[in-house]
Amino acid sequence: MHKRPDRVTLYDVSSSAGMIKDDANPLRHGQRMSRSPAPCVMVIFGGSGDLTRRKLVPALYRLSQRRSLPGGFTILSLSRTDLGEEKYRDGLRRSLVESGTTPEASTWETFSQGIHYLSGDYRVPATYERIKRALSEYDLERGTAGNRIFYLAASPSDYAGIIQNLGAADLGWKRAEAAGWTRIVVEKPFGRDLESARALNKVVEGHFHEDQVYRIDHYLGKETVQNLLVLRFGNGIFEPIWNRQYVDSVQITAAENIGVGTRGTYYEEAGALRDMIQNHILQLLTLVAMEPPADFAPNSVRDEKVKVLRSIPPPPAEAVEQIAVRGQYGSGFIAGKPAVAYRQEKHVSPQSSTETYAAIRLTIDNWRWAGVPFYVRTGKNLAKQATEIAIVFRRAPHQIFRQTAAEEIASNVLALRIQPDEGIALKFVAKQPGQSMNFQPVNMEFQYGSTFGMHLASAYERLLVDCMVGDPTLFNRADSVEAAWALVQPFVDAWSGPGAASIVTYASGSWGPPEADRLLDRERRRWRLL
Amino acid sequence: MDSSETIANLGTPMGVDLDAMMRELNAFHTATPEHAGEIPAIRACSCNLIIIVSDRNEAETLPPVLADVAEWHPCRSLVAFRQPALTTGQTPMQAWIRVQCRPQPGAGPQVCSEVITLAVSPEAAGGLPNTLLSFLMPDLPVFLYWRSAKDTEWELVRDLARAAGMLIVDLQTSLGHVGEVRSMLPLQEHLPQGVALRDLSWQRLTPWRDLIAQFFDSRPARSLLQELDIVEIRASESPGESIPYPALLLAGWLISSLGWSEISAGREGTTWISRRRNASGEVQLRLPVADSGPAGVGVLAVSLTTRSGASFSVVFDPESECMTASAASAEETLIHEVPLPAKGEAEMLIAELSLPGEDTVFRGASSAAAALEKSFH
Repeated sequence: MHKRPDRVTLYDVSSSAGMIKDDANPLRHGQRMSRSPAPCVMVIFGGSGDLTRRKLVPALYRLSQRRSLPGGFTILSLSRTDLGEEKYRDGLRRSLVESGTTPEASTWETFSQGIHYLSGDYRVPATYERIKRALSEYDLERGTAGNRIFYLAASPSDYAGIIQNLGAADLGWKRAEAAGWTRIVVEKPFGRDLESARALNKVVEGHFHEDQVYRIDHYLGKETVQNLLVLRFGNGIFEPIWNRQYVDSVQITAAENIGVGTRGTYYEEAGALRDMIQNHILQLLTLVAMEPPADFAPNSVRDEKVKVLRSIPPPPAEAVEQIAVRGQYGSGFIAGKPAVAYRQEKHVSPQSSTETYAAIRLTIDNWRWAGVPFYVRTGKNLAKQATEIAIVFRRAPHQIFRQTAAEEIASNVLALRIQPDEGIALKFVAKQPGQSMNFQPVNMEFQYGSTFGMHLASAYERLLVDCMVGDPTLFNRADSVEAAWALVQPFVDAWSGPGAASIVTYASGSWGPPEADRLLDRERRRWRLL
Repeated sequence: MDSSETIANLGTPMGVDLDAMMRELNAFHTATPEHAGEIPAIRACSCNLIIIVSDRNEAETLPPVLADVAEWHPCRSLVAFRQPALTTGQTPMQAWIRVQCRPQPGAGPQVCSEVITLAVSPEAAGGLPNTLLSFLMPDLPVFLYWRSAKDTEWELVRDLARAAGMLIVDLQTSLGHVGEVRSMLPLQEHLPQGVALRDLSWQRLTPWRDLIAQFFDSRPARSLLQELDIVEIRASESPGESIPYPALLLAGWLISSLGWSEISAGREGTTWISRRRNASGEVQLRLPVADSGPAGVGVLAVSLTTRSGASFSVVFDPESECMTASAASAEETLIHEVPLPAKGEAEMLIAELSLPGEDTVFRGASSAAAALEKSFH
């Protein structure tokens, strides 16, 4: 007899994806869909890594605290580091505290009982035999019923090898017909250019069906990002004006006020383009620009998103410098504190030409968005931490206030704040009280914090549960990843080739290089000051 | 309730004065911390929740429940009851305010929600609906929770329902007040248009519905729904009812979901039997009169057998709080055990407030249950 689960778990064992898909069962009609996942094992490759300690385990712990994890949920962490199980658990507990969560004794005890650690070399087939044995044991001891999630949180260069070894050990699609389900979560970066992304997709396809693959982009798990879909498609007032007739331009900003910290080695290889634009920012852009899907089924949403990416023409090589700016932070002051230049950071080459800032002007060649520029920018060591999508509307067609002091009336802006201060603001002009016809832009605000009051769950909490219940809506499909790489490839080529122009430097604590301002100046627009 | 919560009782009961009370609330919310280390507070409100209770004692049990609800649905709660004992000289309507603040994780401000309680003398009861309406936070959803569900409050509830989008009741626990199931079941028919009716008893049936549906999720098993021969639903005793309400509601769900039409109804010994017709023949729906076991638990067991000999059952063991689902055919028997911990009132309210709009399946089940109950009498 399996161990007694500690909560109701309702799932359809007849479906390979583990989801209740078939609504032809009349007794399923109108049932409140439970997001209670089935018991499962999460095998984490890169178990001692930063991502596991700082994001995954804290998210899983908080889910456990909220009783959102299935009974019998088990973690099997793998890493090359030789650690004992107890030492590993203690380390995770410390990481939890460092991440700001003080574990409650009883919750931690229950949660940690399900954490196991295996040290081994990912490149050696014998490691996978050990994994198989451990998984069989958990099925019996913890009632995980053959349900597995393989989470690739290791170094991206190990991904292909791990996937091939999983396949060779019959832990991929070949066991999909057996009891339970198998899913694989692949962390970004998914490839480092179009060619490598295609190659990795090929490896994945060889061992897993596409519906088993969850390419994670944690931005999509943020409440505010999901709310973008609700704002657009759950309200009647926005969609009619969400097009070229009413929208002047769109700005997407993902600014950080911190540098690369200890991630110099990774960042030297990635840069802002690969780290932020190819994935997070393009994903935000697709949600802003996509057509309404027929329904909220995973593939309906993902089909529309990929259509957007395919409608953005990649620029010819010679046009890159006109529509894009890259920069690297120099020294400066951020909020009054001195900050070192990128080239002085740990594990960064003193001659590095890696971009820590990128701004690009994109256009979408379709009926809805023809002629509307989408300006995207991201950077490190900027003045503030702020991620925002701003829809800038066209001005009123006829200015009746031309003879007044209020000739320059600001555009209306719908600003969707992703983080911090999650919320939505609509900017419009109002008359200042008094005898004169003076106008002032004012904001109508919605703030998550003061409306709902609750602490927003982390993106990883949401996405981990999505994966456990088999909902891939917020994960990237192979075609979407490749379309995004195809779009940024001209920028990758232009910025990394031997003929690449030298990178401009911006002061830490500023809003990026002046060249980025000029990108908009020449179109009589300005970046929003956040 | 979290021990670190702050509760501020703003004044003692006083005659209802909306402006004065709002001033008092605003003063509380705009006050800056006086001492170093005090955490500032913000007011959060996403809806209004009106709760009709029987008396002061019942009202006094509510704050912990409302504090938990406010964590998920920050709301202005308005608790109202009749108080015959308001003495001469006292104003016929009295009110008092309570502000409940809960710290957020990290260094964020405390999030505060308010509870306004109104006691009204029987003579002034007619003015209560409008008084409550004047206290609502404007332009936010209004939920009405008729906790006491007493016949005498029906007029008040019906009046308030006009302003509310949803009426929540808990017939399983409140039917003892009214004695007869049949007087409550057609509640939906008497509500103003557009008001969704929710019953916490229906939520308690969710795990039962899930497990029963699960038997028929796979395509090969789906056809067995047409072959059902006997369905028996056993429930614990309900005060004052010969047919336990949860059993009736679950039966109503099967009838409405599977489209079983009535052939006959009656009682054989200690079992109510309804003969129904489905696509392939006759189904016997059996509801045994609860005669033993713990009272008020709800559904205890459901069994379904088919003409081809397959049988399915879900059995609840109140002691271990576990449900055991079994599917038996000639070839094999599958057993699946899941826990069914009792849900608290706050947890159930949170779930209801999270799902706006009408639950059409509940409506169908409720109507079918009412018709079934009627057919037995």
